[in-house]
Amino acid sequence: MKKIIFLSILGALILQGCNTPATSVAAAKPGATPQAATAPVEVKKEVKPIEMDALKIMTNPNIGNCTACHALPNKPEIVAGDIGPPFTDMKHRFPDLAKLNAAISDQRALSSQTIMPPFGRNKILTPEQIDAVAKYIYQY
Amino acid sequence: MKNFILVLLLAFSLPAFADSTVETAGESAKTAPDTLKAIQRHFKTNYPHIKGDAFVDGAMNFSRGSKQYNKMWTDRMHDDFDQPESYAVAMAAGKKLWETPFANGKTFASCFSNGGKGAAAEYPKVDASGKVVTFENALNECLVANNEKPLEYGNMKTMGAMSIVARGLSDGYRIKMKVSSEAEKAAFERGKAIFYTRVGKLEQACAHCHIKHAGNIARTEELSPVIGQAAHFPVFRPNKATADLEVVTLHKRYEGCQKNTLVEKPIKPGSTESNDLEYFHTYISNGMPLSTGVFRK
Repeated sequence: MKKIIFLSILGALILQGCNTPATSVAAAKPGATPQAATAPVEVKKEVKPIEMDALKIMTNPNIGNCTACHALPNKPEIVAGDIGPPFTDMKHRFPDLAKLNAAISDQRALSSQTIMPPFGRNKILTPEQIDAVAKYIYQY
Repeated sequence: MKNFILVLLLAFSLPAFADSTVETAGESAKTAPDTLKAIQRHFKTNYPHIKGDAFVDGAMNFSRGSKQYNKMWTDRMHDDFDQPESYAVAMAAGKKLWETPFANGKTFASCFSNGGKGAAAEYPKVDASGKVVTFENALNECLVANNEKPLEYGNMKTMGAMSIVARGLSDGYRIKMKVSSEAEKAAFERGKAIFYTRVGKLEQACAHCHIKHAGNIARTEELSPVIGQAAHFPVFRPNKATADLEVVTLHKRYEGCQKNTLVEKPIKPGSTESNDLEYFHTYISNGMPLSTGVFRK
């Protein structure tokens, strides 16, 4: 009985591993023409350069939109919301910069009830963008 | 060995637990009246200055700026010389749709008692099959019954304008919904589940912004309380691109909210989900007077 349960769990884990990207499967198929399969996709997607300016990431509603909820008291000219705490006293609140990174990446892992979106986990921002934002607000 | 299995099972089921909670007023209430009472209590505790019908004024209850901005546009809407073009166009289109006789000579007014006066306050309701029927559904049923083509729920130039004019006939009538039959209770629960469930990449629920954080500011706007919202749709809303106003129905707003929270496939106007949500949403405004076609930002 124990063996059966163990095997079924093992099976489930293996099946999870099967979720490989479709492109790699297509490329591995003999006789398939990868160029023909991938070319139209490339034409469709306009590749926008990833914004790396921390302040732009934070204020642009289509990128990070941090200031929709958090105020930047050192930049009073930026219109901001008050749903989250303002970006101030950061070094005191986050003695460890890595913890600030983790909070931006997935605050729900730290406080499950939060309204704050998991920017890293849901790939709203790249890890590099999260680093840039964390470093920027850490100066205040 | 047993412990190992337990740990594995826990690890798999944890994400499911984490997703279901918003912990906001009303979520844990068992019945429709209890849900409403819990939400009313939340606002009474946090915003005791908002009383009775004032809830229909939404975010205007939270700031003078919001009130003044609203007054500016409302004044323009009713000023013959300064009227926003879109307002005049929408009202005329809706009036024409409502009044023009069908091919068989009948009009919309023939489908409703009292010529349509007060009709919107009787919706949404649950039909014999357990499905939610909205006032917009009834408008389309009227068209189909008279051999006319139904309007598209997402088209604000036709259905939106039509809804503003037809619902306008019920202005001042109060929402008096009763959730008593099993089918009604089921519809309420379906709508409630949508309201309290986190959605989209932002993993936010309706309840986050419109109960828990209602009154807080998101960028420039105070978030409106859930009570009163369903009473004042469709609204005229400013459109950034045209610098004019646009008609937005309740269902169109649901779709917009879901786009903002980065939902991959937002619920569509006229869909079963939107109808269920409207059923729950309207019940939470029970007792409020209908006030259609107002300006809301």
